[in-house]
Amino acid sequence: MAEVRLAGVRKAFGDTVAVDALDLDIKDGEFVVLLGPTGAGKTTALRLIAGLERPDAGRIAIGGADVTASPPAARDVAMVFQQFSLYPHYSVFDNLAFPLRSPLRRESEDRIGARVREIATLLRIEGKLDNRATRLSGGEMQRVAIGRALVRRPRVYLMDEPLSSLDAKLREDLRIELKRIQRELGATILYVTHDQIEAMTMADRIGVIEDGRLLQLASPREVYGRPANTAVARRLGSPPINLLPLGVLPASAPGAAATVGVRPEDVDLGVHGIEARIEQVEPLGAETVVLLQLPGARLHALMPGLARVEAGAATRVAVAPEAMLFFAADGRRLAA
Amino acid sequence: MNVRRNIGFPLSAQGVPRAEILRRVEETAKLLRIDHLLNRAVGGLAGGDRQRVALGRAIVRRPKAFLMDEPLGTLDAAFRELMCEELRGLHDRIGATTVYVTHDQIEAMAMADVIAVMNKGLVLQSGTPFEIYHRPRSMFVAQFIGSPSMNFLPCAAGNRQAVSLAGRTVPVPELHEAAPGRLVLGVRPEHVRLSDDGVVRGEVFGVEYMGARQVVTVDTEAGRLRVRTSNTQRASIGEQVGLAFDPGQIILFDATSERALPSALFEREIAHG
Repeated sequence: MAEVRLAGVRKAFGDTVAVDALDLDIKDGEFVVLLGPTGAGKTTALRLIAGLERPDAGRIAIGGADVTASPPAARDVAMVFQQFSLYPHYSVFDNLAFPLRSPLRRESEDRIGARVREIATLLRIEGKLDNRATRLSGGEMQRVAIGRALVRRPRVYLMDEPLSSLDAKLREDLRIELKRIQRELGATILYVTHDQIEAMTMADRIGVIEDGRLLQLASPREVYGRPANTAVARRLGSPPINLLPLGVLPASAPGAAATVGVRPEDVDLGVHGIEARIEQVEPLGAETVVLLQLPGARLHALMPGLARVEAGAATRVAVAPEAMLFFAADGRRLAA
Repeated sequence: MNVRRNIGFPLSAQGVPRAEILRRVEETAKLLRIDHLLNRAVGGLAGGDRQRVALGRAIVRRPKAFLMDEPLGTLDAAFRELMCEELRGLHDRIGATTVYVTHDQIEAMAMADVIAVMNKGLVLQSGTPFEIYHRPRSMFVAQFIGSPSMNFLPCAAGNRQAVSLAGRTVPVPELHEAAPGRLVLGVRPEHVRLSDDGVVRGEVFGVEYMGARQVVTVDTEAGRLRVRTSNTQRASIGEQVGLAFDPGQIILFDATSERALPSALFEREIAHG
């Protein structure tokens, strides 16, 4: 495995700038997730590293060597795509063995067999090796697709929303499996997704990307708890962060502050604080989302379990000073 | 066609007089908070506003009932949450009967007065979100609603107030009928907590930080379990931990029929959670 370094990378398609001034350092053995909405430039960033696109400006290095001008095959990366493309007429075994049977590699069949079985066990599809690829469930197919990248020992794995086509339950399981496999292999992974849960649960560091620009690169707790700006603050959290104009809540804000950010789980309902009306209550089972109308703003609160509150009722809202985030008019977060 | 003509279309197709169309389109647009967009072309609208226009076209006819087929399915997650709230608010204002189908349990829980869980053409259970979530009558319903889903652990019958789980006695809500030999203990991730004096012990397999919450996956002698905790709970992979169950919240299922066994839990009302 190896580290990856992007410096000042830019890529435009016609008038559309897909990636702009992108600096990104991925450490050896690190799991980095690029998180952003559709069209943010995530997939372009991956394709630039894979060599499927050439940057207009900037340098790309893998393992210390500049690969900016290298063709894809010389970069030694493995890519997993959103839509898994297996060879339908091959067995699972042959699908997994395919990358190892490349004429450039000349591996013995014994060694190929051993490696395929090792990866199949890791992915818990060892019982399916003789099945045709078409006789698999969606989750099994995606495991084979991931396995086909893992059988090789490339310097970097690039993954483009590999779990997005799977149903929710399977995604939950594969998320935790993929993280375990990455840790066991010590693999360097750059993974792109628009799913904040995937980003927070798997990443060592999350890169929040929007309009081709990297807004923040930090650990999940850092990005969630100390977002660089309002755009990052909004990208993570469900229900989303409350962004209120200064003055709605009593706060000792820094001079330049224009906006106060409060996570819904930090909103306390009860007998203290300012008056509010409960607009809507969503009992989600493990937690309850409450929509509140305050003088001058609406606010979401997240309460554990089944909250005993009713729509239409009056209540009071308080937020601990240490839970407040302050942002300047241009969106930058200010030190409290 | 602009937004105004799009919303008015079902009425002009019915031959409603123009003045009446104008009035009802304005009224509908206000309700949906898109009255500032009436003269805009639909082509240039953001995804959510388009969805609001589509809703407007249904609402403007003043039907007796709305039938909605996954109207939020194509929207991204953050936006879906917002629209859920908006649809529920709209329903509260209009008061029209609505039947809404979805595969998304969060949408169902967030909006419904009554949820009917269906599988293979049958309604398996229908009830309030509370009943469906906290008092599921079958393993299918229990695992379908809730994320992460309910933990299921094979266990053996003890007396009416306890079961045997991996050789340990676990208290449960008092059963109202004799338990079959093979049982499944069901417990939601938020009703399990990490505790040194817990009934079962295991090794932490995964820790998933999710911002407001955290899910810890633990492999125990009784099986793999997910625990939902606050984001301040510290746990690391490989660590040995004890797990304690909230005894009042355990549901037992017959392992063969997958039916929930009636117990004291099913008598408790909402106020006791």
